[in-house]
Amino acid sequence: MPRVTGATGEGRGRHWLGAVGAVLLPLLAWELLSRTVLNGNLVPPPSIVAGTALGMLGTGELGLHIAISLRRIFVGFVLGSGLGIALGLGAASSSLVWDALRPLLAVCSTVPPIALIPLAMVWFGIDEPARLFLIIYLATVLMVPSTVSGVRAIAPIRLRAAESLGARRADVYVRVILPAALPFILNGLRISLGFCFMVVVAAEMIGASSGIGYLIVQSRYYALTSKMFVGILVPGAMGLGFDALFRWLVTVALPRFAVEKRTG
Amino acid sequence: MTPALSPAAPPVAVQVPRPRPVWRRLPPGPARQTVFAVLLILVWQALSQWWVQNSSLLPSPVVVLGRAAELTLGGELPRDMATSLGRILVGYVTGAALGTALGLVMGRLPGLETLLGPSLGFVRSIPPIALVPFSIIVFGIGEASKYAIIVYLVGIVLALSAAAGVRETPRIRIRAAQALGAGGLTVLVKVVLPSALPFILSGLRVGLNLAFMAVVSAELIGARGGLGRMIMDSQTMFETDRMVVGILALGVLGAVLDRGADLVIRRALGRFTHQAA
Repeated sequence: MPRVTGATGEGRGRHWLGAVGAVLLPLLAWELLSRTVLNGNLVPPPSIVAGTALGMLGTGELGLHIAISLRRIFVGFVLGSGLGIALGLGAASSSLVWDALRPLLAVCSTVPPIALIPLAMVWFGIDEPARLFLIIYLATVLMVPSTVSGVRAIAPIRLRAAESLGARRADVYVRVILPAALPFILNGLRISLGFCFMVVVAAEMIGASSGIGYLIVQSRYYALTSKMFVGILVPGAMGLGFDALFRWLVTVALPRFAVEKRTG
Repeated sequence: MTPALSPAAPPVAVQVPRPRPVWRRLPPGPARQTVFAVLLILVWQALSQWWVQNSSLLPSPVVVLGRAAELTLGGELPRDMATSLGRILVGYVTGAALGTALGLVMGRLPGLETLLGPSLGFVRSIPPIALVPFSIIVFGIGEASKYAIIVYLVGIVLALSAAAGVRETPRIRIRAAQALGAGGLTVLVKVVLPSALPFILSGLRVGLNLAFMAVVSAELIGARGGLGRMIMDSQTMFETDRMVVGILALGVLGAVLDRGADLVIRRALGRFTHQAA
């Protein structure tokens, strides 16, 4: 009985205290370590990093890099996911399409996407199209399998029920298959967004003149470690934020389709 | 039975089956997939031979195969593969051991997990490649910076999954062991560890993928030797055929590692895996 937390006011209070401690204590430890044991030039304390971040926000430099990276991700993510879902629906309903896609998918899923950055640079140069190609490719490759497994997980009895009640093929697709596959598709989208994020930062580090990844590489060349730390921490926070946003969207806007509810 | 119904059947049986198109005559499955794979390679060959006609943009499969043979016989490809594999294995084993130990401790001490869990989760969401320049500044351009990245990534994944596994250990099992007189260490080794194993195993699978990705990132940014370096060097020198060989070699290495891990886990610890889902 004393171990039950969250239900009583006292338990909730302690939980809240733990959360604050979890944020403050590691920061404090980092601050102390980099001011004493570690070389402060290599590992700047969080107070200095925060100051640098605020300064960069003030001049608009940070906002610009973030906006550029975000635009790159979203255009490619929307196009690639749409293509991937369409291909996945096709592959799930026709064994011919599935057999045709299978060898290509097998190759694409074993090659790490980051290794394709140099190839994209050969084909598209170091401008926008190279990054767009990479993200579209990645989102497509990731969405096909999750769509297929979503469609395949439908209980055949539902399809038969719809058919025996006189549903046409289009009706079956829109009213039975798509809603049933949606939890898998949404979960696939969430994972795919995380990967797109990673690849954009990588592509910006290897060949670009703007964006968060470029910020990291540029600050390394000028040995501005506190600026580099801003560049490292911002994508972490953004990734975490997107993940939370996606989970929230799924559970609040589409409660019927929340994955946790179905699978857990 | 009734004569009135039987005449309806014959017309269907008599109907001549339409000749099926060629692509439908193959049975679905691996055979047809192989045909499509061959077709894909032929299309690639045709594209590079008649349409692109520029080997530094799209080298044909024949050219790539020739280059692969040349690089293998010359010893360059095996050497780079061994370099990458060595980095992965050293970093992975160290990171897995440290992370599991941390995770077991964290799972047994809920206070520690409340304190460390959120930071580990945050740090995990940082793209690994973003940390490569930092690692190079701290650990130098040599091997240590590559190991550090992999140890760090694999370590976090295993710490989080081992802690989750410890937390999910049915309390009744621990109580039963305690009631039978088991001490703290015995409970940890004989009850908690086996119960957490499915979680640790799935963490090991995820960690292997991450280690693979991290080594490629580190080698692309700055390293001596390794498949990632080979790909990047080929890009600067416009040797696209060598680059494609490197990319495909990475795919092979990744597939072999993944299958190998799967086999080892299923052979050695098969009885712990099916609970994981």
